[in-house]
Amino acid sequence: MDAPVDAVGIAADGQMELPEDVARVGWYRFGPEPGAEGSAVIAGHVDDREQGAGALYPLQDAAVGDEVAVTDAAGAVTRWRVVSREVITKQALPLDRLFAREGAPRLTLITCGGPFLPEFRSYRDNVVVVAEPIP
Amino acid sequence: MSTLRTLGSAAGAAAVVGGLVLVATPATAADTATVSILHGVPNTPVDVYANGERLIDDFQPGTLTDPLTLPAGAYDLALFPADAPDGSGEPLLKADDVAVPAGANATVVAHLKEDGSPTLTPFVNDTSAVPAGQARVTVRHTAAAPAVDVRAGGTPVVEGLTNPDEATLTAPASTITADVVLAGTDTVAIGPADLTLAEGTSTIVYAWGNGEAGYDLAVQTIDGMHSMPAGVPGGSAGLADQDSSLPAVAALSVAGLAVAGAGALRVARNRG
Repeated sequence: MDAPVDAVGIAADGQMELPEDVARVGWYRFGPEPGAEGSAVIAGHVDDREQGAGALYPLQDAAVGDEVAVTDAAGAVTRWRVVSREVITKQALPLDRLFAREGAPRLTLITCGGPFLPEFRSYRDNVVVVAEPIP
Repeated sequence: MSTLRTLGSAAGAAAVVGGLVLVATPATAADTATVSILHGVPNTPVDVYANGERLIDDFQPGTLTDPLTLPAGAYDLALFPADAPDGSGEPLLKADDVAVPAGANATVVAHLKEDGSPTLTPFVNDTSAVPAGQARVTVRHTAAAPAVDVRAGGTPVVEGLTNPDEATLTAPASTITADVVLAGTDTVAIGPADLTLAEGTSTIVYAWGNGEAGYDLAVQTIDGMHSMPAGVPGGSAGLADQDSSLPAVAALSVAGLAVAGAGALRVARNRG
């Protein structure tokens, strides 16, 4: 799993904006940078009807202890260890926790998962993986 | 200072109290209020007194204090010439029994009215949440000048603003180039100036001064009003489907979710 990161904001519908290209992922630029206080959020499409599987497709199989590396624009690398993977119904997503701008630095990776709902052309759940800095 | 007259205290106090009484106190009110003070009277350094105690020494025109946390209550405010012996003589400006409600966030501005006479105006700062990705911007006319328009990138966004009124907008977080023109004209009175409207913050811009000393902008920012995104989208193909054997049930569950909440879904799945 390896993907370029774009700085993203808010889409017209009020949700977090994601890169159109499912091979890329988005960092929520209004929240913390990875390593700063709070939860740095990186999210991407799990798949797309035309483009196929996205960069974060394997996130559903992430395991506690897995390592994540984030490289910033200047080339500096921060390393993170996965501490949790949750599958959460979208309507119950704890947005205030996932997008918190306070608290210990953490990296929150989000994509879609759970059952696919053809009627809605979307997934029921979000896959949420949280990682903590490796000292 | 020739431009600054002693103001009758009764008139000043009435205006100030009237302004603050209109304020709705937030439900989360603590026992304190947050008060900032802006000095917008040109050429006149002052000492600021609250209830007879000196609050600010040698306060220079164009200066905004950091937010002060004050116990809620009634305050007698007085501004003396900065070079006068402490607390003596006649104040340049005063306002008695200014109500400072618990939980309020206010900015008290010493400024000139449209006719050039000095006054104290308390403004209440809106600290309610700003939608994700957005910024709040407020413009306050505290200059000895007639009605103005405020433009962003040359386009009027506030029109016909008069002293001591304010206008508030919500805009996407961005940097804008703003100027102030005489209302209905292209005659620039102040600016242009670049303003960074940071996400989840409030930027408050004061137009102050007079024709003699010149006009300027003072900028106050308040942060911490950000909101969360409404959610995270993330897929449209179904390649990662974890429960394709029961699409009808899953769809039904989601349809019911909007009404029943997330707990209902978990129960349904456990029974299945």
